[in-house]
Amino acid sequence: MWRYLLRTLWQRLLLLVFISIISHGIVHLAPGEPTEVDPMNPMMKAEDIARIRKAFHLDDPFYLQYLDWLRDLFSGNLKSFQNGLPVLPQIWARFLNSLPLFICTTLLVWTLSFPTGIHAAVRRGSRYDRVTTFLAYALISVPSFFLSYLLIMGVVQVLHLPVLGLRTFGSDQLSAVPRAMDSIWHLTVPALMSALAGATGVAVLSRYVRAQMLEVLDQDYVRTARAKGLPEDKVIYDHALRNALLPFVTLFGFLLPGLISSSVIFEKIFSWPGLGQLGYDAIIGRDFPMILTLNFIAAALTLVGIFVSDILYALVDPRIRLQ
Amino acid sequence: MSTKRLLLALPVAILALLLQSALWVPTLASQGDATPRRLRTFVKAQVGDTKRLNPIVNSDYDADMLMRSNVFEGLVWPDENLKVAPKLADRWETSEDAYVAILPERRLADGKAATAALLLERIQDARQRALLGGLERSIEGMELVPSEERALTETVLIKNEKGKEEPADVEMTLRVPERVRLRLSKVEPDLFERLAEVLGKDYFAPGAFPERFTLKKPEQLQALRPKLPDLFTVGEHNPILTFHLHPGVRWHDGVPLTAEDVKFTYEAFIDPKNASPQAGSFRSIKSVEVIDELTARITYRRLYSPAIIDWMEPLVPKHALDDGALKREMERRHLSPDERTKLSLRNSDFNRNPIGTGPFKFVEWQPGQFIHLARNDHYWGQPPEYQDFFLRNISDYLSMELEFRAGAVDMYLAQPHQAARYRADSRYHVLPNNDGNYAYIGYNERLPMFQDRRVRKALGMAIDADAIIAYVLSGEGKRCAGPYYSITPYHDPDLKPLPYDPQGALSLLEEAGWHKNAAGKLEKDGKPFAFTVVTNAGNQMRKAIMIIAQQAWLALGIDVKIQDFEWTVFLEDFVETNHFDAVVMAWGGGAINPDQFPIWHSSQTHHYESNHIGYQSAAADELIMKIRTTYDEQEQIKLTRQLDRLIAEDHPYTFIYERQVPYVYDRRTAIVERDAQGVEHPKEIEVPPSGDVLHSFRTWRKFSNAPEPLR
Repeated sequence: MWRYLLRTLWQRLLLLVFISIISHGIVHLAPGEPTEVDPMNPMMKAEDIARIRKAFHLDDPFYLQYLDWLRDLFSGNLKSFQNGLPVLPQIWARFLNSLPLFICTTLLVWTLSFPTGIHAAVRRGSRYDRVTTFLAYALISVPSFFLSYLLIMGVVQVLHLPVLGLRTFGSDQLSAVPRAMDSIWHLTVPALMSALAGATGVAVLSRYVRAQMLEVLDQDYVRTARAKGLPEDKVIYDHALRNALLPFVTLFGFLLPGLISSSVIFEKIFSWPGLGQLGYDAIIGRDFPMILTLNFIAAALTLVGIFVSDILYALVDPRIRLQ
Repeated sequence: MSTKRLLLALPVAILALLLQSALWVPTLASQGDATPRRLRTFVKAQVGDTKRLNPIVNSDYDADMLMRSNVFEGLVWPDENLKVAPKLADRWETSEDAYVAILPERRLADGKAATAALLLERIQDARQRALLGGLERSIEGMELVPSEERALTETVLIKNEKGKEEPADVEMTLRVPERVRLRLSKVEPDLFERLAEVLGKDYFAPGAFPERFTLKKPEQLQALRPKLPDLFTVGEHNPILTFHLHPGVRWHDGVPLTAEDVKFTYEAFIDPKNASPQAGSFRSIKSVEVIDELTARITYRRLYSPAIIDWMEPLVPKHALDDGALKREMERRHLSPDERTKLSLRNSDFNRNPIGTGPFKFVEWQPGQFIHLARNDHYWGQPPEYQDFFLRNISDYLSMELEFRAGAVDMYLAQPHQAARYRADSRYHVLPNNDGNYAYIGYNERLPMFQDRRVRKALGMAIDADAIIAYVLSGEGKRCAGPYYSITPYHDPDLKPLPYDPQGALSLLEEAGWHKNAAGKLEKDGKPFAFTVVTNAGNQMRKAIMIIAQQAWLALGIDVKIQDFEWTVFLEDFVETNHFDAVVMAWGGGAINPDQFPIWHSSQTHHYESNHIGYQSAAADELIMKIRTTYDEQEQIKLTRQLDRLIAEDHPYTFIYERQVPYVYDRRTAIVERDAQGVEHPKEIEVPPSGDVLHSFRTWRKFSNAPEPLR
């Protein structure tokens, strides 16, 4: 067991280094310059542009730029091209903004998916099943940004309520309870939207639950449980559900990288100043240090996620042993 | 069963908790009652994020404008008629020091070698006998200036081993000979022409004088050579601007503003360490001297009449940014030795905590969210009505409209189609903000097919610009014909925009040798007329213009392809490297400046310079230089109008429209007017002649009820 852990840890670290080198290459190969180099400014001379390029070490050989980045990242000196501030504290601050949205979305996804999925599996072929199937596929097929805008417009036009951002502008002048409620309201709409229509949202997850439950419900031990006269609820929720849960342990591990990647669209649409938006703006502005660091963190999170789900799987399923 | 109940109860409980929060949020109508302070808070929105709040190193337009017009102030600013008006400087004077080098190798009119005594005598004589065409009245005094060795550093681009151009500082000493200095009460651009009549007409002839330069690295001479004639001239104009600062102005931290700050601001702009994008504006300055606490004297290397405009650039506080201040910052932040060497204005804490002299003080900046300013209660001028000012970062225009309609934004620059919606709604006002930004299609004149003026004109005539304004801009713009902004006096009012005339275009093309072949396509000498138009992705207007132009040109029988590229790619691979056929772009921001040098002068056609299309015209070059060296306003206007017409009739661009950016705001926002009893009356906001809607911003406030129809 310990040998296995150490070995995978070592392999993953090596993999991480390779990922960072490759992503470094991709980022630098992509066309375009950091926006600080603004050739559209008629007052900016070729000398000025060359000077800025030099200040950012953009003309250094590739391996030097990579080593510089690595050294700066681990000494905490890595600065963003765009605002000259250290990268890590910025990422941390945005992470704290993304976290509530992430938690809320995850809670909604996991609490909503199971009842809808289980019910659809139990009443297979019923009108309920067909309606939820239709809705799920509709949510998966219609672009989520489009749905989000429809929802926002509805809220603004009908309810006259602000939706975007972390809180209503000027809400800091309210007293404590309304202020907290205001923040919760601003969290609710994007969380609901990304829970329903997101790439790993209710629409997708409830389908998994349904499929998994259907498979388990056909098993012999379920028939046995029914045959020995157990109440139907006990059969479904104790015997079937527990076994159906196994594959979701793996999915749980993949939640972690979603912190950065899954939030880009919704954070952008709902002006939520989180990690996703940070990454998006960094890419648009060719803020290389920021892109690379976020990339690195996302890769690390993915590897950690896989690692965690491996271990969880071994813990919940006695048939699997790590060697 | 308990599992079943839990599975059902949990989502219901979570959803209920989340959704009930909606009941607590104030709506647009109730926001004033919920928080009275909201009415004294102004919230403006912008697309995109803010990077730095230091005007010296900024390259971000919107946040920069916010800081410039509210936190920082320049010595002068544009008034509501777009004329240069006093700001931190109460007044200013222009004068000149003119130098005549004494060069023995040059002969005077009568063949004698030039000597100090001889030159002095001749000039004195000409002055007394009034031989200088009236200029002698401006001469206040003259004296000999001994010869000197001047250390100079000039940045040039030198190719490195890999053939890539890198900036290199050329350090050198220039041996300046003994010179006569004439002190003039105003700038006299014709001085040397007049003196040449007395001293000999070749005395001031330009030359390179390489023997006067000693380079630290002699191998750099080749790269420097093109710049030599500018580095030393026989006659040297040194125009002088003397600014008198408004007394009693204090920085937001209480330290008084002095002429030292003017000097420091100049130094900060040109310090290579700061790599300021605005450095170019200040390169023609020779020195900035502090005469006394409130007087700064700025001497220019050469004639440059738009100089005063550069002093609209905001002043920054010396006490917060000079070397001493940076040293204190190093101590405070406990920086490592490596970080210490890197600390400059680019990464100083000042960029997140700026201090200015303006009507608003900086309070807080949440990157990606907002910048918060608060009223400066000790402001030296008329204080603003609003107590708080927020600039919000909102990622796109749709979100902006949504926030605006929900009352979380008071004003924003709407897209034209949005403005059309608001114009129909009595709760809102729409005012067009004219910022002198014009859209054009530029033709790369390096290509043979675009070298004929008639071809460029025909391409322009094929495009229905009025339809573009009506449908693409929803009417938020007007036709333009030349490079000067139509509301300025620089623009020639008699200039008519190109008519829409596809038939006429076709006959012009035929005149230029392009004929229709069997397939109905235009060709000349067997070669088809084909080119590609490019623009940047993400700008719907430019894309629309590109498509409309393509359709119009296809109809003429021209094979036109279109492509759009992401902004940085578009600039780097096409525009800046002059690697395009035709391009849809816009220029903006320079409305007040008569100087068209960067965009139209034939010397500015290299990579990374702004004459992307390679426009070459000796007549335009001459006018551009003359405008730069003409100090008489009426004379200058005459020249700019000539230039406007000259460029317009050359059709280097198809000038499409001057845009108006519609500012939308809630009707409850109005100008506060107080009568003799101090009772407040709301007055509708109007656009001044300059087109700058925010010009009267300081007098605005939001009222709790929309005022009765005001007109």
